[in-house]
Amino acid sequence: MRLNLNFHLPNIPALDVSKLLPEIILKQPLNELLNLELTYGNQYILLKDSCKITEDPNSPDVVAFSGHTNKLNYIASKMRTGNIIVNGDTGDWVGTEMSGGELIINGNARDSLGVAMKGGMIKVSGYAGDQVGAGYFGKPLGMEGGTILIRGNVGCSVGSHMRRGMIVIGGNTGRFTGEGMRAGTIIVAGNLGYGAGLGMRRGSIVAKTYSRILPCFRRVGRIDPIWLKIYNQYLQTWEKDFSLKWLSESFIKFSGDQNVLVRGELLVHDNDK
Amino acid sequence: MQYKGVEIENTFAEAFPMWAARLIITAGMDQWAQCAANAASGLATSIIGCGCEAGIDYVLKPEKTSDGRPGYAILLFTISKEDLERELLKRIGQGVLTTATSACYNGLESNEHLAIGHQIRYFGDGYQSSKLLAGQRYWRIPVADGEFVVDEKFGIIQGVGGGNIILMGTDLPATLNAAVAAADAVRSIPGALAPFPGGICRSPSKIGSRYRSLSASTNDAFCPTLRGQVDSQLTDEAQVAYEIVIDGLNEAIVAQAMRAAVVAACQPGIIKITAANYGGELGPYHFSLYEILESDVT
Repeated sequence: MRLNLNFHLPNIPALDVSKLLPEIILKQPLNELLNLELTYGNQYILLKDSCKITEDPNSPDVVAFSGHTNKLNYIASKMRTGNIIVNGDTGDWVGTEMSGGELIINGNARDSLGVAMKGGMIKVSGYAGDQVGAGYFGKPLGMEGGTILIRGNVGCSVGSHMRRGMIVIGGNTGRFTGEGMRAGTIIVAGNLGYGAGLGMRRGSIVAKTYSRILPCFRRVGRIDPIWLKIYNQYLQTWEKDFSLKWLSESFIKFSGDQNVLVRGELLVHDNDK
Repeated sequence: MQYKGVEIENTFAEAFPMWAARLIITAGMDQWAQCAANAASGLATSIIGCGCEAGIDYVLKPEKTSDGRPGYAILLFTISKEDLERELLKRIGQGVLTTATSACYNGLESNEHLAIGHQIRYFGDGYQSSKLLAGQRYWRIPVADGEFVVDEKFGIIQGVGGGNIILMGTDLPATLNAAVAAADAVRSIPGALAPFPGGICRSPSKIGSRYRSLSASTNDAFCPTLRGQVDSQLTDEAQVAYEIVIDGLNEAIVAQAMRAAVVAACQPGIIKITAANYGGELGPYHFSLYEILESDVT
């Protein structure tokens, strides 16, 4: 069943919709659903007063948000299974602690997308803000699994303290991509911002072009990584969204962070070849 | 029964369960992928003396492999899981890993696995790393031309080994040509393997020997030079015999391969086709020559 929720929130700055998970609301009777309480700040509003709900029983199971979606925070937070589609921009903290299912955002995402994610898939057709796939402030680990695909640019600290999973950026990144990274893969089809890999212990940051490599990274030389060809084959499903054929070509490798563990790698596309 | 002018004996091939694995070996160029595949499947004609039976299953176009490079699929068959693990470790570690630009992936979906890459990773001496993609872990082992990439786990299944046909012909060129055609027909079926050199066994064996140290010896019933000394199974006109041994991932594949081999082998110069068995007492799989040709029987 497809559940469409068209939000109309003229007087509410941001609404916590973490309760609106497919695994819960698709099984609930409509009258119970209508009286679901959603919080904003120290207040709450009933679902029936915040959006118009329509059902399509013949469609595949999905929850679709539309309307004032840019005011919705915590979409798909802690989602374990199911599909959510957002037709519009989103608020903050979307996809946090997600461990399964699929979230598609047909718009732009704000900050803290996919924080502490453990599994599942997030696809963003526009851009995203800071801290994508990072960790909660003060926690040692960021994203631990899953896949985030963002077609546009992203802000700073993407993949901060990431410990596995994959982030693919179709555009440019801001500063400090992959800072404190422990494992996982970040692929940047545009330009990699300054400070990438600061404090990195392990993991891979792959970029088409870069602004400046930190001095704590040592140039290793030209390599032809087989594992990236595997990633290229896997990501071909999304070839129309991301131009990633360059992943099967040669790269210049930088090892670092030399001040930490030196097991991290920065791979930048070898444009000279 | 006659099929295309060749006598088909009313008998059956007796086959046995064997554990099987399939490797996908890729490299930067087709030449090196083939080199690695040959190294990994070399000296694997019979489990009697080689530890396993192995050979190339099919060739893969670059777009069909995990890493978009030219590839070869090879099959390995052994009697036990322990033997299979030992052979995989040895052949991937010594044959594939050592070949320039190669990589090795699992080619068999199965609920049972052997953690081969998990063990080979120690060759990296602590400098190895891994990537986890879509639930599959790939180990990256640093080597002198970059990295050797290998799947952590390889799927294994219980297949069938020992399907066979024996061709008898009037002369060596004709019989050998027919045997080549039969072996090619077997190799054209994915999941089927003819492990002997060129797919053809010129020395069918029997169980036991007059020498206590040997477990197998020449199958004297098919040796033309011993006619008159032994109870020969060769016809009066037959001067040469060749055996095609067939292993497969399941019973249906072996039956299909045997049928294809018989059909291809029925050429001018071939007098009779039979099969080897042990009276049906040892192997659970029986492939009747009549039944596999059922739809074409004359």
